[in-house]
Amino acid sequence: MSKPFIICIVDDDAVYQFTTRKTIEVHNLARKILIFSDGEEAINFMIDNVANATDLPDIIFLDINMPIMDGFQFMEEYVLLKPRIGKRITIYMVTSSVDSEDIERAKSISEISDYIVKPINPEQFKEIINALEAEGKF
Amino acid sequence: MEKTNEISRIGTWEVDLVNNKIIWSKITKEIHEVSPDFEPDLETAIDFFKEGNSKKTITEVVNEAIVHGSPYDVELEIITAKNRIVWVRAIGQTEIVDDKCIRLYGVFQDINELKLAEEKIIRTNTELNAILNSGPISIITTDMNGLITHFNKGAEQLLQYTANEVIGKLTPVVIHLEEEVTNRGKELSELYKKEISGFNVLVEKAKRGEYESRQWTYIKKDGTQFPVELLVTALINLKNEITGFLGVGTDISARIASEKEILDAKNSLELLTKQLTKQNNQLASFAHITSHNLRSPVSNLNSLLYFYNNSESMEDKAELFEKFEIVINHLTSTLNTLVDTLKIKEETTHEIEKLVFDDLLNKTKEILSGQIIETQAHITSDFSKAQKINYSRTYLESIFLNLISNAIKYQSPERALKIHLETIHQNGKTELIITDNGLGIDMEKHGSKLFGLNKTFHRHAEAKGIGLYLTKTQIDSMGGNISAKSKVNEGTSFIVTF
Repeated sequence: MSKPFIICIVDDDAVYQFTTRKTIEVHNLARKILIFSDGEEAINFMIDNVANATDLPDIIFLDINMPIMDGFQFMEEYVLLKPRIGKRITIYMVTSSVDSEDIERAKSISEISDYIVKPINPEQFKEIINALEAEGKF
Repeated sequence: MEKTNEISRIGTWEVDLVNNKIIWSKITKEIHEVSPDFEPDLETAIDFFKEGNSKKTITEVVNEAIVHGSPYDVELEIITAKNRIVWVRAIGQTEIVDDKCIRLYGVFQDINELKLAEEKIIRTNTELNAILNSGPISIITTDMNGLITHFNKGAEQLLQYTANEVIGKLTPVVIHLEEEVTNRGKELSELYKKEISGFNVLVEKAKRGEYESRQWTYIKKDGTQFPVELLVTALINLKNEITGFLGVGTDISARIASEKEILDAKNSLELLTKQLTKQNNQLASFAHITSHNLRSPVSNLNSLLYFYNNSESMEDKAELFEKFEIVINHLTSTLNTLVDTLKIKEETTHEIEKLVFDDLLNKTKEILSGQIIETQAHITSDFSKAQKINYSRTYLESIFLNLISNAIKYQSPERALKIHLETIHQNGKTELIITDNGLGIDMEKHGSKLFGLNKTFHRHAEAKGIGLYLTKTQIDSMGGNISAKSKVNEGTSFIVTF
């Protein structure tokens, strides 16, 4: 039985998109997977669906480095949109960057739950989802 | 008479050699500090003279006077009855009768004050001379016209002229660098609105009651030069008139040398700091690049490998293999870029050639001819303000190619592409400006990342984020700079400062 979540992947790396989707599918971690290649695509989706809480993601795995609109710029837009979102959304910054500047910046944003450094192996992924489920956040 | 004598402290005396009797006047007794009723004889009179030179001299001259009748006039010291040493002038005359001296007479003057003043002057003079001649300090005085009147030992040592060669013959202008005097003359002429040249340049300020301390170059007799700090003042007499000039010059070669040493050390430290900062920045940017651009493909490979190991169907494996290929190609391209970057950063010497901007543009157009025809790009140029540049050919070709192909790549679908290239001179440097009317970039959002590796700003299959990164690395390594101005949907200008 799959978990009752909508998981959203925002990342411009096609191979990462593929492996993550695969992980989620193989382990039945979500009822639906949303994939966007940059922040702008993702925020546009959020704006379009702000009224339909059931279609909005429960968890967002957000990359930092993306064209058009990067992870931090997405967060700026998201913070503005947040009051209109009738749903609790957990956001993880996921990136290959181990740059302390990026980590500090991510930590300073209260809407970001954690900072995960790639690669995330499937076991880690499962743990994260299970932990969230156990917390009863959904 | 007695009154005048009292003021000038002149006494008289006489010796009657026939009766062996001595008579001292009142003042003479006062000079000897004896009581008015003191009765001297020849022996006691001579005994007042100070032991040594004074007694010896008086004995001799008195003997000469008695024996040969020779008069005398000597300045000697006596010790008074009150035990004070006093300088006196003793003048003696003789009276001869039948070839025989029968009487000695003369005057006795207290010249103590005079003598002491004289001694003081001599001492002061000696001191002054010692000061004037001590150390390697050149002290030169001149008359009003500049003719040298005094040339001390220090000046002789420093300048190799002897005092005799210059006093009354030369002016200090001969020991100055002509060019410096001329230049200073121009400054002063300007300042005081009158023609000032030659010796007057050196003393103009002193003439105006100011003293002036300046750095000059002195020239020795053998032509060698050295720097001096020269202080010039006017010599003024009691009537407040200028009678001449005094110039005190100190050799400051050592000071200048140590100043230069400190300056050199400071400069080389600054250069080192600059280099270290640059290397530090390069390292930091390299760490950043590694972090961003190598970790992500490697982590993808790891994820793919995990699936590959866990998949059983041949279909799945084949699909995964395709993904491997994508990542490996990406990784290869990133590594190649990094190697290129390292090459640019390590190459400290570049072959510099004189390059003509027009030739480079034509060559670039040839290389890109397919794309230019396809996109119908309209390329114009104006290199009239700077037609040529001394630069590395490889880099400049790469800069042209990257910037022009970028403009073509990111053209707006809404209008015909126009690219204009222009060179200008700005702050003594040549700048190349490449302007297009393409998609533009949101500088507020992306400005800081524009020249970063693997940074892309358009959803464009060909956007890899390598071109501008390499272009910037090349320009940086040549000590130049690249910046951009852009408006979304209006176009972009790249400004290359060589």
